[in-house]
Amino acid sequence: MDRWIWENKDKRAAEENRQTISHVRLYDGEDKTPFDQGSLTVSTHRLLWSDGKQSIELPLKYIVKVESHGAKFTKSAKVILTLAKAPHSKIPGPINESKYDYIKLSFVKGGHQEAELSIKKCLDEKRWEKGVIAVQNQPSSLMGGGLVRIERQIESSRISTDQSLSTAFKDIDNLMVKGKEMVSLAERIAQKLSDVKTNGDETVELKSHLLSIGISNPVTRETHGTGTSYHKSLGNELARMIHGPLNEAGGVLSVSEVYCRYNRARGIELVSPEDVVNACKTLTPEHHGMELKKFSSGVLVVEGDNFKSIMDNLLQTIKSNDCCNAVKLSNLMAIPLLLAKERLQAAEQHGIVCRDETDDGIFFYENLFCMA
Amino acid sequence: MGADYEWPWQYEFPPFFTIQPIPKTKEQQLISWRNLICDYHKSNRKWEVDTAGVVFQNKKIGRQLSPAAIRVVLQSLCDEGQGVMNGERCFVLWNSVAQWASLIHNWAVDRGLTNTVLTLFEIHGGDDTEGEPFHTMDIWLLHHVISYLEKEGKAELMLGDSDDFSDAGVKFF
Repeated sequence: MDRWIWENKDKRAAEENRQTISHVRLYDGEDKTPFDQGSLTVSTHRLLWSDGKQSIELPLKYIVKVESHGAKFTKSAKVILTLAKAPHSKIPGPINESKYDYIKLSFVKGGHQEAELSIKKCLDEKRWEKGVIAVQNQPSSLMGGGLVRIERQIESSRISTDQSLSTAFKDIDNLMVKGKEMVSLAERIAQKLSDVKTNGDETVELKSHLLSIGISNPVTRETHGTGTSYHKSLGNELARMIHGPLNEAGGVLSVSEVYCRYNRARGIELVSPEDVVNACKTLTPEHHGMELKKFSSGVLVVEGDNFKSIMDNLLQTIKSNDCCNAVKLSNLMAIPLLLAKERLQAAEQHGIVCRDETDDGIFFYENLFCMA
Repeated sequence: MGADYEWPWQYEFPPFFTIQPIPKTKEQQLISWRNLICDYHKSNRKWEVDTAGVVFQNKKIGRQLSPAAIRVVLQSLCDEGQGVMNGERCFVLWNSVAQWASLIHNWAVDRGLTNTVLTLFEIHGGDDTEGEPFHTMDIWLLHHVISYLEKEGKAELMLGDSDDFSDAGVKFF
């Protein structure tokens, strides 16, 4: 609260009021202040609070972070502004000492989202920095011509592009806010679904939709630090996510496929291939039921613990039939053709079977070469 | 003599006739192929590989190595010192060149034929070599082995004008 000063009536150059919201109360950190029931004006240079008797302002340059909290049962909606340290040369204001580095704006009658957006927009524009230059350039516009004029035109078109861009991204900001709500809604529905034991095509379909939304709260460097602990957390998350696809694919997935599926599930906050490989290295059969294997050809795969039993099963099937192609195997094991192909390839990679290329297609036999 | 040869189990195993794509399996497969070629040629006392011969195709199971696959097998044979190429022709060395060289050199020393000029044909088909393992050895292969002795300083080759070594001679030391 110590960054606020009494209102300076002189309007700054190129200052523009953007938004005025009434019924706003100011908090110094967690503490209430006498500034209650006033109107808050957001301009390109400052925040202005006034209740008719007294007016105070906060220069926007102090604001480093803007957060908002929606209204709760007994609490009104709040916007929290984290502030930078005030310089010693600051003009004294209504309150000159504060133990907090942030202030809260409480919106009794709503309007916090609009206020947040216009503050953010003004912060992005940084008009208070450009203000001085704008004043200096003012006279030259009168005698504009030649190169100067062209330059000015380019500049003004750049500014308008800037503005339209920031309007466009404003929508994305909203979408992100809504996105989180959607995910939590989806989670709640999922919870309900598992509570109420229903079975029907619709339930299954809804569940698959929910699954495709992916990971709602991804592990990031911000939340889990760097280095080993980050990769471990990443590995845990990856193991949970990849478990289903791994079983479907017959117990083995190449790391490139893991990378694609994992990032598809995260949607945003993508991770690099290197981080995925490092995360895979942390997988252990004891904790995750899968591990990273490297073939002699250099191919990296993630192998589930059911891989061995699947391969045993496949080998028995092939042995009892002398040899198999993918079509025959898919019939015998009652699995899709594509999966049969995948499994045969994996078995070949592991040296369990070997191939016989004929005019009628590729047949697989038990790998007797490596048995002798 | 050829009747003695018994085909290994691999010869009846269809994947044997497809070069395996997985390195570890392929390695084992090529070992089997090299053994088969050496054993077959040794048993039948054949020196040159016949790429259209029975070795590379098993009519009974309807499988044969493709020309590209035969090249892979022969390349592996030469890389391991169990074969040597003379242009497009491939000769089998069921004994290594060094082993053949010492066999021939020992024979010459035992018979007291050192410091005497012998023709390659005498070694190839002469009465003196009857019963020796290198009797009937292909004349080009014989020349190849004696070149090795020459490098070791144990023989001197005297090549004549003809391409088929009919007038070539050798002196052992």
